[in-house]
Amino acid sequence: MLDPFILRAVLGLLFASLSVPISVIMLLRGSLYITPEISHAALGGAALGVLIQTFISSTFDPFPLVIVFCLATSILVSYMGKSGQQSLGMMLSVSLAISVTIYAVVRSYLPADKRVLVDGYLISDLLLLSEANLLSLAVVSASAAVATIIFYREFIYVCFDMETAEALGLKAELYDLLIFSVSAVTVAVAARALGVLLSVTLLIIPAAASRLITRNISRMLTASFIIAVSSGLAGIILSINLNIPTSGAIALVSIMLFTAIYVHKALKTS
Amino acid sequence: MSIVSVRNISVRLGDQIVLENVSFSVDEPSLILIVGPNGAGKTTLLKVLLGLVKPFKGEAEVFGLNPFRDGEKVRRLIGYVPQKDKISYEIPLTVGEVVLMGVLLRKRFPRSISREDVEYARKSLAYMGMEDKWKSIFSELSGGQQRRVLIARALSSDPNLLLLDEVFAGLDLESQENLLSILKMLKENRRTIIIVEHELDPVLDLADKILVLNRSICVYGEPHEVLSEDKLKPIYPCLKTIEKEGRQLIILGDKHA
Repeated sequence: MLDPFILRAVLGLLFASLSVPISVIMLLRGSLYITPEISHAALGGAALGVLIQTFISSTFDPFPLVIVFCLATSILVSYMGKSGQQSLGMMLSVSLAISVTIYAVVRSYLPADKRVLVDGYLISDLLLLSEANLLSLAVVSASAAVATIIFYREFIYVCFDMETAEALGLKAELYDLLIFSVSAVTVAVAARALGVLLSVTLLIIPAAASRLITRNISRMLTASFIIAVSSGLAGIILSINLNIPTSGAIALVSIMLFTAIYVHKALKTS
Repeated sequence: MSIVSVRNISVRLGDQIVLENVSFSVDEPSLILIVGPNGAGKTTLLKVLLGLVKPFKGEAEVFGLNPFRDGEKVRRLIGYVPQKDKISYEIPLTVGEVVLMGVLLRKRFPRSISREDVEYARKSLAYMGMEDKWKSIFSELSGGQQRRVLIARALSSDPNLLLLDEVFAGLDLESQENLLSILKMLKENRRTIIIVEHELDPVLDLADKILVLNRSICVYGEPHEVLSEDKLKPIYPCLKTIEKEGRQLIILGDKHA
C-alpha cells in the first residue's frame, strides 16, 4: 500500500505536469523568460491570501488570490511588452518589487503558524499537498492543458506571425493574452506544488529540454509533459531514498536530465 | 467597380498622424509599386486595406467592400505577405504548416484540416515551384525560398488582390530574379499586386503604376509620369541617377532603418 503522502505527491506531480505544455508555447512565443518574475507574484498573492485567512475569514483559500496576482502580472507584462523592451524590463522589475514587498511586509504581521503557510509558497514540498490543494491543482492544470490543446493552432499562428494572423481575421491579441493568462495560472499552480523558487524548474526545464529533443511542435508538447513527469517521479524516489526534500530532488533530476540531453545533442552535432 | 478605392483617408497612430488625405484608386488588374521614405505610412496604408487600421477620416474600399464593416469578405479576397521581421523564425514549422496557415485562418474554429485544404496548399506551393519542400522546416530555407513560401501562403486562398510588404528586402540577386518571375506570372494571371518597397529597383520594370508616399501622396501615376528628378528630389534629397546596363536607374537612397 502506497504511503498517502507519496500518493498525493505523485498525483500532484501528474497534475502539475499538465501545466508544462503551455510553457512550450511561451518558449515558442519567446516569452518563457518572464516565468520567474510571474512566479514571484505568487508570493504577494499568497501573503495577502493568508492575511485574509488569518484576520477576516478562516475558511478563505489563498490560492485563488495567488492566481489573481500571477494573472495580473502576466497581463501587465504582456501589455507593456508591446511598448518595447525598456517598458517590459521596467514592468518586470516593478512587479517583482511589489510582490516581494507585499510578501515581506504582510509576513511580519502574521502569527508564526500562518507564516509557514506563506513560506510554503516560497519553498514547498509535494509531500505536504493537502487534498484541497490536489483538487485545485487538478482543476487548474487540466483547464490549462485543455486550453493548450483546443487553441493549439491559434497559439502557434500568433507566435509565428501575429500580423498575418490578424490580417486573416484571427483575434490575435486576444489569443496572445490567453497564452499569457494560461501561463500565469500554470505558474501559480507550480508555485503551489513546488514553491516559487523551484516551480521554475518544473515549467522551464521540461519545455527547454523538449526543444532540444524534437523539432516537431506537437511532439514538443508531449515530450515536455513526459520529461516533467519522469524527472518528477525520479525526484520523488530520490528524495525518499536519500531523505532530502522532494522539490529539491525533482529540481536536481530535471537539471541533470536537461544537462544530459544538452550534452548528448552537442556531441551529436559536433 | 474599382479593385481598390481610397478616398481622402487620414490615419493617426497614437498621437501621430501617419497618413493624411490619401486618395488613389486601382481600377484594373495591375502591379502598383508603393515607395516612400521610412515612416512614410506605406505599411499603414496596406493595413488600412486589410482592415487592421481604421482611418479617422475618409474611406477605403476593396472590391467595393469596406474592410472594417465587411472584414471577413474582404479578407477572403486579399493575400498578404508581411515584412520579414514580423515572422518568428525560431518556430520549427514545416513549409506545409506555414502554407496551410493561409487556408486554415480563413476557416472558422476549430479549423480542421480537410483533404481539400491540403490540396489547395500544395497547389499554391507548386505554383511557386517548391512542391518538394512541403516537409522542410521553414526557418531552414534561404531568404528567397522563405519569401516564396509566404507568397504561396498568401495565394492559398486564391485571392484577387495581393499585398506584399518589402518582400525583396535582403534578397540576393538570384532570389530577386526568382521572385520577379513569380510576380510576372501573377500579373499575367490578372492578379492585382500592391507591393511596398524602399527602392524602385528591381520591381520597377513590372510596375504599371508607382505611388510615392510621404504621409500624403506625392506622386501617383505610370512610371514615365513619376520618374523624374524634379518630382522625386523633394522627397529623396539623396536621390541618384546611375547608368546600369545601358539604362538610367534611379536610386532613391532611403534604406530601411
